[in-house]
Amino acid sequence: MTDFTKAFRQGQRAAVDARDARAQIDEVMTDFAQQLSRVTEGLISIELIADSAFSGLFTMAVRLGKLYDPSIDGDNIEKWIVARGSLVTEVRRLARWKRPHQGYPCLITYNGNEERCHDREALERGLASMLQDPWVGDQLRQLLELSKAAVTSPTEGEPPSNSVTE
Amino acid sequence: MAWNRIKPLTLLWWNTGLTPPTAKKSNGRLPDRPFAADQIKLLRKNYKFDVLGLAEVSEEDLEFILRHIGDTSLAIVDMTNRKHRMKFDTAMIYDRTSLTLANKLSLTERSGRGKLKLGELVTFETVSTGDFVHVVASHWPSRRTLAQHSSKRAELGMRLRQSLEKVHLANPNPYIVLMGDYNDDPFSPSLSEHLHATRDRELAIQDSAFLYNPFWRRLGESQSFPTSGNEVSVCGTHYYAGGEFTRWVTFDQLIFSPAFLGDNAITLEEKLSEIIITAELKDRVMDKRQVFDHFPVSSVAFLRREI
Repeated sequence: MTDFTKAFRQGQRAAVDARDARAQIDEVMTDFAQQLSRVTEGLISIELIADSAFSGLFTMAVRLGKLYDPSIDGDNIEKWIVARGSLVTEVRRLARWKRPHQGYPCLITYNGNEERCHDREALERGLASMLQDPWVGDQLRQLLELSKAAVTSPTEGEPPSNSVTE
Repeated sequence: MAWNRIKPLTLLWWNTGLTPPTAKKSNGRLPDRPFAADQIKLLRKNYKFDVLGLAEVSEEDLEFILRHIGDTSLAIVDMTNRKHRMKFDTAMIYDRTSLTLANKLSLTERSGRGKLKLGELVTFETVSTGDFVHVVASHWPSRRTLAQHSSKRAELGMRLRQSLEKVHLANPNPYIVLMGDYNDDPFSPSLSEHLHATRDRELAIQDSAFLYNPFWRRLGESQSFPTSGNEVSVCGTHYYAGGEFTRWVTFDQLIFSPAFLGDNAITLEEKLSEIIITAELKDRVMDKRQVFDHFPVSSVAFLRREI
């Protein structure tokens, strides 16, 4: 006879483990976003944007949350890690991001690299590796320059331009 | 279903030995480049390959090779990268008249402080039939770096298999070719159990969780004893003079998804899965003073069109 009691308890343990893993990932991503905001003196923020937000029907990026918002990091839905200039509405896609329900492994895909990260340290190193990539660095550098230019010569009376660039 | 054969799709793989992943400099073996380039030029002439996967090459090696071949229909997918601690030393040369490059992705797995490089996934579209073929080139760690029975070898096989799941999402019966120097034989658990690269063709046809490895046929001596005078017999794809129980191993293989075994637009011509041996290369492979210690391997599939 099948021991459903045992199976139920295993499932409950797995659910708790998955919840803890997702919470850990949220911590890492929030720390990642906060550190980047600090080092750029608030000129760049990191967000997670669902793939559907870049559908051709949209002419401007849909902002789903300030900094990294864990509540929108749903299961198995592909998203983008994007960088946004704080004083411009320019958004740069940095990497595709995927996090399954059980938390790990997370998938980061950028500039022809796909990194599957199986635990916290791996995720931290994976995100660091992404920041070290020259293409990602270039996206951030361009955003910083745009933001700094906006600080030094703000335009008045013009509506902001909304553009999304990969 | 009735089909017409359109043309062969010839896939080759060779670990050249020119610039190993551990090499600090990317031009350490300059004197050996001309011989390697000559061999590749010969492969192009004799096999008219559509894809040639290469290991232990640098950006400079590739430029030299392409210049030496002098065939303007060839292009390089350069996946080499020696900037970081983990070195990437593989590339593909492909025929642009036969294939269009659709996408490329470097596959790595991170666990704790460790990082495993699984391979480089390159997607081609065939010019004549519009089919997509996904080719993964791998150069797994040597047994000096990662011991034969290390659990990480099993992990390489398992993770490579898992990383191909995304290809199945787009197409439930995709054309996938794995090529590489796995530093493991077809019977090693990393390939036969964890990658699910089976010798059992019917099993692969029945269960798409499996891949088919025609290089099981390339274990043991290539010619029966007694050989006739001119035949060159080898016992694998890689020669190591210090081997305790054998000096030959079959580390270089091409492995196929079941789509190649069905009544489909691309079918494997299994008898053409072979180790490419020339007497000149064999002399160098068996000379431990030489950098060359692998033979190229080849497989052929046929592109077909429905009548």
